Amino acid sequence: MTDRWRDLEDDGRRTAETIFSALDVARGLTDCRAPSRPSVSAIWSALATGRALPGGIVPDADLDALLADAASVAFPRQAAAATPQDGIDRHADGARLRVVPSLGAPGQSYLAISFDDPTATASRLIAVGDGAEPLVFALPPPVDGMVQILVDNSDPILVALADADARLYLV
Amino acid sequence: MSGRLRVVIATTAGPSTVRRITAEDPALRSVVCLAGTATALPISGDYDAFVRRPTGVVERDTGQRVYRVDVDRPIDDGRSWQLGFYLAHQLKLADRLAEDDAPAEGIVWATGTVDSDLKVGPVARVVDKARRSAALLATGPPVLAVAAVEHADDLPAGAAPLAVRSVDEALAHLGLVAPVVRGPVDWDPVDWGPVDWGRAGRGGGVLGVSLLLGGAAIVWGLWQTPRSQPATEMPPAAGQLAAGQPAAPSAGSVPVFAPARVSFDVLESRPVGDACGPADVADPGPQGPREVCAVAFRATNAGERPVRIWLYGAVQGGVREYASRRRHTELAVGILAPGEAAEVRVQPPDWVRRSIDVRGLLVLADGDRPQVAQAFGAIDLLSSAEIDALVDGLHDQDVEVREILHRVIPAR
Repeated sequence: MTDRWRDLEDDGRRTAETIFSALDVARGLTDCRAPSRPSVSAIWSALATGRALPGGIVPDADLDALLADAASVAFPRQAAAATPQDGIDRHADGARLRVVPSLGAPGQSYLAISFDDPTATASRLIAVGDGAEPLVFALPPPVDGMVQILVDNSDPILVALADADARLYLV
Repeated sequence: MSGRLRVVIATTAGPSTVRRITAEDPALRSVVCLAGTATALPISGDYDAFVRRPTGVVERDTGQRVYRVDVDRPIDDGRSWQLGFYLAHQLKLADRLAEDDAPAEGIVWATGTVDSDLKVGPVARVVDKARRSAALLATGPPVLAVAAVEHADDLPAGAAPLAVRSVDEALAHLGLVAPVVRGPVDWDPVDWGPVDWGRAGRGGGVLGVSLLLGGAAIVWGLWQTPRSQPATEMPPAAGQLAAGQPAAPSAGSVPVFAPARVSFDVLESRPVGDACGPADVADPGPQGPREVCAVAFRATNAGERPVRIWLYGAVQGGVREYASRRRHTELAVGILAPGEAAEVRVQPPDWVRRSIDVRGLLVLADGDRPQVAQAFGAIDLLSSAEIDALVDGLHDQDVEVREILHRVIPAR
């Protein structure tokens, strides 16, 4: 699907949105996992409004497409795994994410996200791995284009970042 | 007090001890943590601004731009921690900070603000802070209570009181040497006057290392090197260089100009893991290598007499103007004694994906040059083209100016 429907006039856009809603409902009715799986519109609403993501999300291509559309920066899969101790360094168009071990506390690391555009911002880091619910990490406001968080090396976010298959989204 | 000291930040919730200070990766931001945990205290942002140039004074006076400080009790807000933290940094630099559970000869109890001129300012509720420190004062090693002169009568009983107008007074009392040269933040184009070379020489390199303050490290990674006189009670002597103040004149102290003996080099540093590695001398030129995380410019005085220098490094072009808030620039000003070297270091912006030109500028003089001082006092406000014009103007005035334009591709 392309985004060309966004270029329609008001009536056409409303028609498209109605169709998408109907498809979403129909999908929920026909999907045997529907009772425990939030709808696409519910996920999109949470992403768009900044609310917490609903529980029961199952990663799939649709979720990745939603997140890619909502995110200001999307990090692709990595070629190889890394550990926080080794230092994680992931690049994407618009930002760089690094995990830097703390010299002051060996069991801790800094998660540093630097934006190419110093005025860019993101409130959440969402990590999507295969077979597990997305992990959402709230971010403080960037300072001079950089977000920095200090975490223990056992923190789930670092585990997720070390997963080469994880897709990362700054939303 | 001449041995290791513990530093305590006086707060209205009780004293908070500085447990440890650690230099962190320069690409990060400074942080204040609670007792070794990953809990960053709310003052971390203000502390980073207190450290980082151009607003901060710690980077300027220690040469290191990012620190982690661990304290044993929360410090929630305000700026009264600044005096204690600054003194702790200076003690750390002198290898005299009692960290963790190391024994301490004494305790420095401090509360006060510190401005860019290192003036100590008054703070609120000092009496309450003193009252909440009663247990600390009742036991343990002797306590030196330091605060602004406005609080001379508020300091806790049982402690040796030290009411000061500036940080330098506290440093002198602790046997530490005040920073000599500071960067553009508190640039004061005042005539420093002639320098007491005899005293500087006896200082055993104190001047040499201090010259590089303002974020300009003599050797990268040397921040641990003691800059103070070790373990001696050392009141400030007449003629001693003091921060931002004219030194007392002394006879026979006029430097002899020997510019030809001053070399000017460019150095590059490449990433080693997540850190920026050691600096190596490079061939200056337009064919820039990739993956350079820092560029330094070094002036070395191989002559036999001192030379006054203005040493400046800056990223050039639109990036510099665009990123002026980040200050991809550094300035060192002072007198370079025989055998001494001074460096300024700049980090090319890692978000730039193309070649970056970095300019090094060295001005040498045999004495005070008010026009140079005035120009360099505002050099960070000049565009690259305006710096070109400045260099031309200095040449026209027969000022000894050297310039290196070095192209690199920043490390990501």
